[in-house]
Amino acid sequence: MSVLKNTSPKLIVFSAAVIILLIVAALAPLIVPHDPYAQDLSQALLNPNSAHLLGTDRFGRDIFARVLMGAQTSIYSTLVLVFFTSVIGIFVGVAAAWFGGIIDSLLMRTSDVFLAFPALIFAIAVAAVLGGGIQNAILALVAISWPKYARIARSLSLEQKGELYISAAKVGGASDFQIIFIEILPNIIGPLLVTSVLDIGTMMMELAALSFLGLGAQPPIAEWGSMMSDNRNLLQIAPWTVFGPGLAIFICIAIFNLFGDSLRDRIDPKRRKK
Amino acid sequence: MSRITQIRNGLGILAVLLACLVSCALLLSTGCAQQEGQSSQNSFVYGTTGYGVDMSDAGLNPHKDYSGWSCVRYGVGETLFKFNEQMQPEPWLATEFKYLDDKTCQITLRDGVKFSSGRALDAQAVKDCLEQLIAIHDRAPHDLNIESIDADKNILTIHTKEPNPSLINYLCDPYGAIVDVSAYDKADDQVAGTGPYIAKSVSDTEISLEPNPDYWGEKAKVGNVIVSSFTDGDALTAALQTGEIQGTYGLPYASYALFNDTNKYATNSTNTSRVFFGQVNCNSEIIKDDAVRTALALGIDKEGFVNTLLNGHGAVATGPFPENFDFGKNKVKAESYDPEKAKKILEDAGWVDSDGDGIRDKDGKKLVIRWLTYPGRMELPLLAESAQYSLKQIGIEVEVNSTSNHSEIRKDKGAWDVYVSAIVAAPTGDPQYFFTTSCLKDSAKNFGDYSNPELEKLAKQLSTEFDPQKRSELAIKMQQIILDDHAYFFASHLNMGIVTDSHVSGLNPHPSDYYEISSDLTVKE
Repeated sequence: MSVLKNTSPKLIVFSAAVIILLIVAALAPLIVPHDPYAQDLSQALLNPNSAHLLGTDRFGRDIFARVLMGAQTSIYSTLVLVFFTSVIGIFVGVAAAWFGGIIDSLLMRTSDVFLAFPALIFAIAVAAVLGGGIQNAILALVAISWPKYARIARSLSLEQKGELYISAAKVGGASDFQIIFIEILPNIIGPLLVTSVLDIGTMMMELAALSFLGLGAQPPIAEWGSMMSDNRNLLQIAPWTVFGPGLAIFICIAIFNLFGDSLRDRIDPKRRKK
Repeated sequence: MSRITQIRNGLGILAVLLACLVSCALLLSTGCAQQEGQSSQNSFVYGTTGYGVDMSDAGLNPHKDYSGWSCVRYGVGETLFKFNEQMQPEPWLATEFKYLDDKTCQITLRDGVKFSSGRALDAQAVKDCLEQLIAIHDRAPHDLNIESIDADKNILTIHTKEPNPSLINYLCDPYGAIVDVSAYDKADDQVAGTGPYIAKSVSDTEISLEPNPDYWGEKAKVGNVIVSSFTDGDALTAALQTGEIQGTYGLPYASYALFNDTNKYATNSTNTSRVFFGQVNCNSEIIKDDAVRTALALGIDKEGFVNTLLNGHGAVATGPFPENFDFGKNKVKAESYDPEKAKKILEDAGWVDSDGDGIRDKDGKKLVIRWLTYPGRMELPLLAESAQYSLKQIGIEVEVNSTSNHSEIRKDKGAWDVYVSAIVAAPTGDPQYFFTTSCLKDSAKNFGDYSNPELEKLAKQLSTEFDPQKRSELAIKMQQIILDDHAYFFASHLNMGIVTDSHVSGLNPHPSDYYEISSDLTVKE
């Protein structure tokens, strides 16, 4: 109860919304009203109706079922993507800050090289080389997105490096590994967590963009970006085929962004004072 | 006071002058607008997805890749013979031909024809052009099989190395467009042809045409034609809707419904011999099983594909040739969609679903088909996704690989089981082309290494048979062999549509897909 008392209502509401999204995505195969992959050409391009809440696509597949199923692909793929991006970035950043010298220069110049490329263009190039598929799209985005976390983690770690408690740990005989994992990481994880959560929306958009370009999820996998791409030439004739997944992307990104903002308000000490 | 009056008068004069200036400017601008309007009435912008580097037909030089298609399609070049609606050759730049013997064909050329360079068309000019064609083109030397050419005024005599019954048909191929080879401008991809239009400028994305004042036939009626390349069907749709272009080739099937208003738009379409078909990889262990090949043929819902996914803009195929050919569609028999029969055939062959996952297996091996195709033709991914589902219903898992890198992957015989592509089955109106390019042991496009001794024997007969009736009979037998072997399955034939502004007429698609802009093109006020 005391935790809830100190927590802003916004954070509670958006946390609940995120949890609902995750549950819906996890249970999608069980709650879909129709088989999202079942084709019935006689039911192609039906308007939204009571049997098909968001209508059907050109193969006669229920769009609502595909949007629900797509939630699993889109949301969990994004979470995996953000997880790997942030973990790799954080370790690179902390290692660069802690070891300094040539390791720092090497890691930071490498990250500079990656930062020099326009993110999505580089991801498209990587995905094109690796070939289509959601795993390859995730790999492509991880490859281009980690330097941001490395930069933040490095600057936060450098601040901590000069603190007395680190000197105390050193004097106490702690190893580099212990200092990084036991002393530094717990003290910098808050801002990095907020960055990660705020990044979910962007990553989801980028993943959807790669799928939209045909470099992410491949047919018939239900994924919001590829659903929009598959149906884009039906936009004027059967707009519901694009609006369904488009709306899902919008709602999902909005919820994660608002959750990220609330979490930042809660964690960031400067904002908390305000 | 007088000073004020003077100033007032001065201001008044200035105001009158300004008013005059403004009026003149308005009148001038209106005049300009009218002039522009008049010239735009006599101009035509044609948007197409069929022109450009991706299609290997950029430029107008018929001796380069598929650029001959652009040369003929856009009214710059003409061939000695052209196809009629039944895909039979008719005179064009030539007036008649006769075979002096099996290897000698004499062609009489039309009088009074001039290249846009000013040179008169005679047998020597045609000889120069055809000799350059067979010297540098990739397909023509093999097709035409020319040994030598004699030129005497308007009589052209072609000697072939072997009897070539399809010679006249091959001369209809756009690579056979007759151009003045002495006037070819390499820097601009320009050619001097004999067509109703002359290219003012040519780039990889746009061709600007103007009428040929010395054209031998009916003169072109449109002052300026611009052929504009589009790589995206949706952009093409939007361009026609906004009036940026007045005619289109290659609209996405879904977009046709947007142009149903006959007061605003006109749609013309025709069936072509471009066929969407699959060939199996005879090196694959799974494919070697005839039951699997038969089930594949039985498990593809062609009707659904054509009627729903192509919105009826196509024709269900049986064999490689559509029904407007003497040896086409109804003359051969192939399996139609019958999932129950497919299930039984697989069951009888020992393919059962032993672990209940919906996919059949035999001797511990899952029935998985690797389906290689490419997205360049929008119909192919749709066919793949449709077949993926319908074949899953009979217990066959289909792994689709739709990639623009297909031409590299298909070289690796261990990387695919079925290759699905599109080809113009009878570009010369003759059946021989399809078999020699796709079905024989040494065919360049027989990617799955299919071979049948009986087919090879009949192909030899076909290559030396001059009688059209007997050629048709041979073609029917040959089609039936490949269908009975279940080595190929044919899904649909392309229905080619041209949608124009209702003010445009005379722009009609042709079954050969070769002829688009001609002197018939008219833009009404």
